[in-house]
Amino acid sequence: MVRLRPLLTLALLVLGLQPALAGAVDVIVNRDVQLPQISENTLRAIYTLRQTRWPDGQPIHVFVLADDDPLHAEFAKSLLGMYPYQLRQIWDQLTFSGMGQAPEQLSSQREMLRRVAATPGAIGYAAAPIGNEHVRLLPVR
Amino acid sequence: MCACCRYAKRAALLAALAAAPAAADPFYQSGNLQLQGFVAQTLITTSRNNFFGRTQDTLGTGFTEAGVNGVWQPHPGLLVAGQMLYRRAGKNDQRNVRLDYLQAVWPFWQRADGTLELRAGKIKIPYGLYNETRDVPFTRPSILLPESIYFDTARNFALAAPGAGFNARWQTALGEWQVNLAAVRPGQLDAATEANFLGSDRPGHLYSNATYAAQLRWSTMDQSTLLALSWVDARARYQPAPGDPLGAGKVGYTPWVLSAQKHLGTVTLTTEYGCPRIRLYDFNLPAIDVRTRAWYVQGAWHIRPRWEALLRYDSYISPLKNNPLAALSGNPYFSRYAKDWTAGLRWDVTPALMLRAEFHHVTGTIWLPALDNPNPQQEGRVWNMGLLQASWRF
Repeated sequence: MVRLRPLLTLALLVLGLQPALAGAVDVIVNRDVQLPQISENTLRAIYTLRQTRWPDGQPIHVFVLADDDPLHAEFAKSLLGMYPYQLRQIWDQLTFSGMGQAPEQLSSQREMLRRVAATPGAIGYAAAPIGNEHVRLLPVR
Repeated sequence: MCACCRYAKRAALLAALAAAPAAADPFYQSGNLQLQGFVAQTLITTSRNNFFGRTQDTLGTGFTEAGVNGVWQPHPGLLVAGQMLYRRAGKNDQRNVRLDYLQAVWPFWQRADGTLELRAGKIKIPYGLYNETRDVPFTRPSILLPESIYFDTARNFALAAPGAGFNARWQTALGEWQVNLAAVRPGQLDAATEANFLGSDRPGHLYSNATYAAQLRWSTMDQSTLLALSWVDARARYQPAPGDPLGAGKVGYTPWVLSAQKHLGTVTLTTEYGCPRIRLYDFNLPAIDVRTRAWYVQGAWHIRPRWEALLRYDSYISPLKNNPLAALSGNPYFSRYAKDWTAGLRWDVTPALMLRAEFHHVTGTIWLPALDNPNPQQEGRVWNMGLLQASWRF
C-alpha cells in the first residue's frame, strides 16, 4: 500500500491536480488606483501584459515575485488559473519579440508591499491577511 | 586552437555562467527601460550527415547564439524595442552580429477589452507559434525547433525585415482574438536561402521586394487553449551574375500553418500543420510548382518546476527535393522527406541557467543544410543526432 502513494502523486502531477498550497493570496494596488474591484479576466490580461493601462488611462506597473516563489505559484494558480511556467513563456515571447515589458520582479513580500505602496498605478499580491494601510486590497470578482 | 583548449575555454565559460547571478529578470531595469540578454552554446554530434558545421562522428561546436534586447517606453502610448543578435550555425549562418529587429509600437487605441496597435521599423514576421522569438533558446520548446515548420535553411525568407505591421486584440465571451498583419521588404537574401531554393550558393543574387504575412489567433481567456492560422507570401527574383548557368528567375514561397496548443496542468500539447507552396519560374528551366506537407505533434511535461521532458514527431514531405532545381539532377529519393523523432530534457539549474539535452532519430534528409552537406550523393538516409545546450540569460 505504501508504494501506491508515489504513484498517486505522480498521477496527480501529470493531471496538474496537485493540491493548492496552504494560505490565501490577495491582490494589492497602489492607493491611487480607483478601481473598486477587478475581474479574473482583467487580472489575467494585466499579468499576461495585454492590458497596460487602468480604465482611467494611468499606466499599470506590474510587480511579481520570482517564478519559484511559493506565493507566486499560489497567485498564478488560484487567481489566474495558470502555472508559473506559462506566465514565463508569455512574458519571454512578448519581451524578446519587442512587444512588451516584463513585470518587475521583487525579492520578497516585504519589498512587494513597499514598492506597490510607493509606485503610482502599481499592482502586486501578498499573502492574506494584509495588515498594511499603505496599499489597497483589490477584491477579485 | 587545439581541441582541448577549446573545451577548457567552454568549461570555464560554463563555470562562470553557473556562478553568475541567478535571476530570470532583466539585467537593467529603470522606470521605462528594460535590458535583457542571453548566451547559448550547443554541442552537436551526428551519426551521419552534418548539421550546423562538421558534426559527423565528432562533437561540433558550430552553433552559438547570443542576444541583447532593449524595450523602452518613453511614453505610455509608445514602445521602442530592438535586439542585437549574434548567431553562427555551421556554414548555414556565418553572418555573426546583426540587428535582429528594431521597431516602434504605437498602441493607438486601448480599452479594457481590446487594443489596436501599429508597428514600424525592422519588424519580426508573425508565423506559427515560435517564429518571432525563434533565436531565443528560452522561448523554444527544444534546442532545435521542429524543422518541418521552421526549417533553418529558409529562415531568412520570413524572419524580420524593414516594413510595417498592424495588430488587433480583443476579448469576447468566447475568448480572446488577435489579428497580426505585416508587410515587409527583405532585400537581398542570404546564401542559405539561395542554396535552399536554387540548390547551392549561386553566383548571382536573390532579392525579395515584398513579403506579406497575416495571422489570426484565438485563445481561451486563461490561455490554456490556443489556435492560430498563419499565412506568409514571400517572393524573390534571381539576378544572375555574368556567365551564370541560371537565367533570371522568380521564386515564390507561400507557407501557411495551422497551430494548436493545449495546456493540461503540467502537460503542454502542441501541433502545427502546414502546406508550404514553392514556385520557381523562368531561370531558363521548366517551371516548378510544388506543395510540401509539414507537420509535427509535440508533448512537453513539466515534471517539476525546473524539469521538463519533451517528445515530438516531426514530418516533412516534398514531392521534390527541398531545392527543386537540384531535384532535376537526380538526388537520392530520401532527400525529399524527413521524419524526425525527438526526445529532450530541460533542466533550469537556476532561473538564469538552462541546460538541455536532445536526441533526434531521423529518416530522410530534406532539411539538412545544403551548405554543410555539399554532396547530396554522400548523405545518409537514417541518422541520429545528439545535442547538448547551455543557455544563460541576464
